[in-house]
Amino acid sequence: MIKAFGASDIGLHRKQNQDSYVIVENDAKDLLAVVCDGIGGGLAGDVASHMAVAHMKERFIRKQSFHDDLDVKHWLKTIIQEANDLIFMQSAKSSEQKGMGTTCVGVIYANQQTYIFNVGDSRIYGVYAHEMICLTEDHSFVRDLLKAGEITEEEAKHHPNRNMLTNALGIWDHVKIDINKIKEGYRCLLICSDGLHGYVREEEILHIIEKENDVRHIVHELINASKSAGGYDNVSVIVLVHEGGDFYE
Amino acid sequence: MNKMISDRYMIVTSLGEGGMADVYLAVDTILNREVAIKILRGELSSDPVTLLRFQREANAASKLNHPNVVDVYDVGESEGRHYIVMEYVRGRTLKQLISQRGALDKREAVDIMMQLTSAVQHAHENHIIHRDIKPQNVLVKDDGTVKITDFGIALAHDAVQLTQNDAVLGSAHYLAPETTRGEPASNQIDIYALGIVFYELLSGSVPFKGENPVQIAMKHLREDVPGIRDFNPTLPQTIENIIIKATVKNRKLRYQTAQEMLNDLKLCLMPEYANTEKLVFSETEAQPTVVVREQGDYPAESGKKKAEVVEEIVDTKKKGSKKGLWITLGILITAILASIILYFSGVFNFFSYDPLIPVPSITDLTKEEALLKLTEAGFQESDIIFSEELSEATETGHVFDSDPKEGSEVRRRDGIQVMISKGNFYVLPDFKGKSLAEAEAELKKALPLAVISKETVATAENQPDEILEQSGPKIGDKLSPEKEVTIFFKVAKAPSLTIPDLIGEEIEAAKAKLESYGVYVVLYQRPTVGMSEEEIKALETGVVVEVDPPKGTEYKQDGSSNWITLYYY
Repeated sequence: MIKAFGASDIGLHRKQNQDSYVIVENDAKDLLAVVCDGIGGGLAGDVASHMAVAHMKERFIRKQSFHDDLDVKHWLKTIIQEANDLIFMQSAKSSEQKGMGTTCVGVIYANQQTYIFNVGDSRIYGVYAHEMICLTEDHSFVRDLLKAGEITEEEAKHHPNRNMLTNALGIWDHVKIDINKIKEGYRCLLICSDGLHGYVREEEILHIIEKENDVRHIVHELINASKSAGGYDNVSVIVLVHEGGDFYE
Repeated sequence: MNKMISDRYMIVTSLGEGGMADVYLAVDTILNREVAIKILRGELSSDPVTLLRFQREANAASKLNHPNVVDVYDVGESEGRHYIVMEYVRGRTLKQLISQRGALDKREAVDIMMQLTSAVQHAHENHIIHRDIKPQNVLVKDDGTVKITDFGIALAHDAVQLTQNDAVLGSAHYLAPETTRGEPASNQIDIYALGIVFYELLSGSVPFKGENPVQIAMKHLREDVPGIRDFNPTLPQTIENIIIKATVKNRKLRYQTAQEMLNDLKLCLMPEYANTEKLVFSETEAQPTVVVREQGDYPAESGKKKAEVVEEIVDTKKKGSKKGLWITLGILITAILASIILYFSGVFNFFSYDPLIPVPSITDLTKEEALLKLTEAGFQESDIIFSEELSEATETGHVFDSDPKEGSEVRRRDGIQVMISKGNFYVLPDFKGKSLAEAEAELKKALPLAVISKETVATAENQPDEILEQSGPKIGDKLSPEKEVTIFFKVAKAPSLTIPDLIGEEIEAAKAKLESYGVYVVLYQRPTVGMSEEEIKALETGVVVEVDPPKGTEYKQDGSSNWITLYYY
């Protein structure tokens, strides 16, 4: 069994929380945990992330069980594409919501397997032993430049287009989705919007995870850390641990 | 639309809508001439940043005085709407010209380029970077004169952007690589765009295409502009060299001024320069220095660690079947080779007796019975291949088909394939219109392993539980009862809601709110008969005064037999 807890916070400077998250179980006790960080769309920045989360939640409850890896992959592809189309159509209809979109990152735990998916620059970290590994790859322009060796680490941090995404839900009529299975044996999974990893150093995040021994405390401490770092952005965090696992040892 | 702006400009018609402003054809009633008037969108006038940019555009353009730049006559504000009055150019945009005519003749293209480059040079001399040179921003008069418009609009939309705060997607087709890299704008970005426009004029299309602006921007960053002579080898090398020099990725190697480019344009069609060498830049300088990454937000070795725990999900079934196919093919090829060898080595005696055997009737027999009957008919056991397949209705273990079919004749050595039923497949029917319970009962019997995934849709139009839509395997598909399959249904559900507090709400809004749940709503205007004038005056009209059933009631739409009544005056 897996235990999950999540929270979202508006931060200290934004007028609106554009993040949305959900943790939900289906009949087979499979778990879905998603964080979406809304972008664009003027005042409707929260609409896209909310739509994505609501759609995935609704479809997940109705998905009775998963047969195998491929079933999970195909289901995620279908559902995320559906969410994309919903948002895309909605934003095309309304000038106030034009250009809205959202990142979408999350975990499905089913049949004792853990699957991760990602669109955009929100992230999933896995803590294996005492090491924290980023399991997703940002779909960001800066990441592409970094990968291509066009810019350096330091330039990436200060690049004027560091918020530019190369992929997001609802922006175009299609969306690229990374779906992978991860090795069991992690002590903890962290799903977060860039309000966390964009402002709080990974060492500090790991330190908080190792220090606290309750998922609720970890989540609250991580959100506090983002606020202490200035609270410049909305922040959403979901932490998952294996229940009865050796996390507390 | 006969609206006057500042008691001077009479709007005649709309010429188009832009990202932040609308453009109208108007008549300047004082000077009695046609003008184009660009009016900032009302809702943007209150945004100080947009306003500043709009005014900056007006100022930038009004500083310029050049035959190939659209003139700005006046700038002002009327009833809170900011506007710019410009020269009205009768004609079409260069983009329209290209899409109507495709690739232009080199003389015409060079002529247009000389006008554009000269205008850009004039702007640069006045310290103005256009930032958004593209054929859509170039007007072509009927006499062939071209004029650049939209000066400084790029200040309003920083071309490709998909940022957290401001998701604007502009045209990336003319975007210099350094803009994408985040470097500050310089004259060279206009020169780059001119190079791309030159390419487009000569080929009829832009050099880089992509599914989205970011992809296109990345191509500008990474890929060389294709050689124009690959498209049209009859073009002189001098022309290709101009495009190469205007679009080289490293802006330090690019034309330093539009004037240099203009000089080359003037000479490029002269026959004495026809034998020029192709210009080649070694672009090493253009690449930013790569330094060893520091430990930071992106640990250098994280990729490797990530690879240890993240697995890709691959379709093993597909892979398996492919492999199977190769094995089958391998066996087949070996068999063919073997028989060829055997044939030539004389082991096969092709002249031995090989009679034609009529295939007897074996349908519905068991495997043993069929084998007996076939050997009696003259087949040898080794000539018969049995295969187990799903049949439409034949009992398990019994023959339902053969190849060749019964009644036909076959040479003994060609053999016969006999299909034995291993159960019946189920032909998926269309359940639309049936009840979910009915479908579930049938599927449970026919496809015990099927998963039924249902989604309910609140609607009063259909019976509750009625199937509205079916997806998953196609209707008519032959499904095996031994395989897992997911069938999706959209099922009608009686709309239901807890009646909210609607008293005091605008009547139509309240109605719409309820109807969004899929329930029937009836409006009832209460009579005022018998009320005194004072009472009538005191009434609030058009708002809900009573709801039946009242707020808090659990309401369920029962076909069309019930409804919610909203009372109002």
